[in-house]
Amino acid sequence: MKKNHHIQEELENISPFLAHLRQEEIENPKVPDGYFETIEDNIWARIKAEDEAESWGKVNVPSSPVPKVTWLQRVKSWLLCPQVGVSFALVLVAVFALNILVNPTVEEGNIVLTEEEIDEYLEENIDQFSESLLLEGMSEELADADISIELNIDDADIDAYLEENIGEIDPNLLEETW
Amino acid sequence: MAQSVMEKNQISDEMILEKLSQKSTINQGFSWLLQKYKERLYWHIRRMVHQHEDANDVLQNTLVKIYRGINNFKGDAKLYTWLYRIATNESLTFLKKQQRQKSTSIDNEELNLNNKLKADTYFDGNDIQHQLQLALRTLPEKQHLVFNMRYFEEIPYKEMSKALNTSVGALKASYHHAVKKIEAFLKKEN
Repeated sequence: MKKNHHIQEELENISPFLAHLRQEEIENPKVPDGYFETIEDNIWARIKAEDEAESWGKVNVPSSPVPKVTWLQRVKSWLLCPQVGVSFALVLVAVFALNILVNPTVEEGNIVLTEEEIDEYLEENIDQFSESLLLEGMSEELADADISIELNIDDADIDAYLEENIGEIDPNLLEETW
Repeated sequence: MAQSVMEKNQISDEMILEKLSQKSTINQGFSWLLQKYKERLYWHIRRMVHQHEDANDVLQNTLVKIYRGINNFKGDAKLYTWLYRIATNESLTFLKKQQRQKSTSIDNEELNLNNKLKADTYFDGNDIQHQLQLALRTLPEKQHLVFNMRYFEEIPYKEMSKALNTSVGALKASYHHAVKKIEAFLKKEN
């Protein structure tokens, strides 16, 4: 087979030894006789078998008929259960009690703190906060902050750089970056 | 399928794609695709996985995936690039699976590869071919892949870049390292 001149030249520049080796006629490894003539039949047989298995599964495992129930019917029957009524009542009592315990005197919405006031409070009472709570707060702030840096480098520039430094780039790094 | 019997070099990708685009002719289109590309795909896979039995398994999986996923071909790349991508992914998946199953030490691994290669009924390469095959097996998967595509299959970097979704620069650098490693291996052995 005639070798591509450009590829041969490229190889010559990297390794004359391998370029010389490449010029020799290299035989392909062998394949069983008639392999390429039978591969098509094997593929069609496999596709057919898969299709049959799939349709067999569909025909032989019918889904059991499910009676149609509208969502309104479902909600209605659920609300009519006595357990649901009792649970609702208990939840309402619990929420009311909790509200009294948490906000004994101040109504929600009346307290408006500025950023500065919060910072001042934190500074004055820094010892009162656990380290993990402070770290948690910091990581949330960092997550919200826009710290992305946009690198406007052309693919062509990256390629040019890689080509110029071809021998110096860590091959393991190349393997990982794919 | 009398209609599908056609010389493979007479079949253009456009003809294949046209047949594949219609439900009534999809099987004929796939037959043409098989005729045209089965051997190229086989050799691409064989050079990655080395042994015929493994190559046969991977090729079959590849071709069935192509048949099932033909609607996913967007036409923004060459048909062969898309086929190559699937064959490459299947080969790499196979090699990864094989690697996970290996429990032998690295020292024994080289010996095993050597024995396996000698025991491969369908490999009757001469000494230097044998050495080259051994050298190829020492390369990391992606360097191995790039080396095969360039050295044996003479694929342009641009086409390779589309099939492997990697920049041309990274491919050139990978090829460079692969060549250097193979050269070192062969020089050490001889």
